[in-house]
Amino acid sequence: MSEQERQDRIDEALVLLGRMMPEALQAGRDELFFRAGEASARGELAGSSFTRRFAWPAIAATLAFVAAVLGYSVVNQQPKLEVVYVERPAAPTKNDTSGTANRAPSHAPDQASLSNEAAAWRFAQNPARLLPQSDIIHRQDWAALSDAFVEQSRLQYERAEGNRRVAMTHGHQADDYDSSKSRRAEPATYLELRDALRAM
Amino acid sequence: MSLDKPRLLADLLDRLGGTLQLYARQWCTVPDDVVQEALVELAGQREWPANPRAWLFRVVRNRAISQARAMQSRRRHEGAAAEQARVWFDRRTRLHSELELAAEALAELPLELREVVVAHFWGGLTFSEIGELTGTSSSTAHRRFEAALLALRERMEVPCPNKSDKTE
Repeated sequence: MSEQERQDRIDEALVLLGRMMPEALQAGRDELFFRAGEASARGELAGSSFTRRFAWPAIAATLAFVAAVLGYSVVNQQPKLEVVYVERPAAPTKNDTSGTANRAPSHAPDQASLSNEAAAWRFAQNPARLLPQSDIIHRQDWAALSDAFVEQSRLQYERAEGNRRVAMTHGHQADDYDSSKSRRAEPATYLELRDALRAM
Repeated sequence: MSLDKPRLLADLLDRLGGTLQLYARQWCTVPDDVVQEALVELAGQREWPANPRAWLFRVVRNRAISQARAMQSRRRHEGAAAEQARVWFDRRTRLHSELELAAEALAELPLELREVVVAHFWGGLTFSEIGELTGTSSSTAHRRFEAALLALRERMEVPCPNKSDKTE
């Protein structure tokens, strides 16, 4: 096939194609433009710039990271230990009879309050042992009763100790002294307490 | 620019709507949907493309190929391309027997040749733009166009009885 014949064939084909028209688009023009306008408005709002595209994702990622860090710190938080140094109260000496010397610091519980607590504990265990038919109790409250009990116990101890020393001075054995009173058990009832107080 | 969008879109629809539909027919069976989606996507572009015509052809091509792959009907469609070719062109073309034969001959061409013919002849794209569209060089696009025309002309050629007599 010569070049001229080839070109003639191409021209004939072009003429043939020129007589053919593509079919019109089978689409609803109104619907198409409605959707196009919708998409255009969306595109204007959403945009494609760097700021609009990455601003919100960046903010969301930052907040998620901060939330994760805070959550981790809360979960793994160790309780804070506070060390408090308290001065140890001095042990009471035998010669300390005043009850005021070598007193423990104000913040430490004293012996009286401990005795009060012990008495209160006993009272809580069985109040009927101490409360009935007591004229002292009728007149005073529980704290006064406790203080009186502690004071009487202390006086009883001092008296017994003084008697023992007197007996030893006169050549009696310490065992000769009737120590049944001093060895008497701590009164458990009000009646025993009253008897003990009368015996002193 | 945004104020001119509707006018430009209407102009593109009037001038290229049918051609884009014909172009999409080379791959899929629902070309009108593909063209509509492409036009809507063009309208949604915040930055209007520098060459809307080439942009539309590229989007239509990609969408048509994707649609054909999704439906897995490309081979069946190519096999039935000749049967559907009679609806590729308008009624005047269909009524003319010679043009109808030409349409069928065009449909029987390989896809690589067909798309170059549609894009250049009816779409008005340059061979350089077609090269970018199809991923080839402009010279390859030009060579394919000429090969398509020669093949079309050859298929349209009616064998001459005298020639056959002479050969016998």
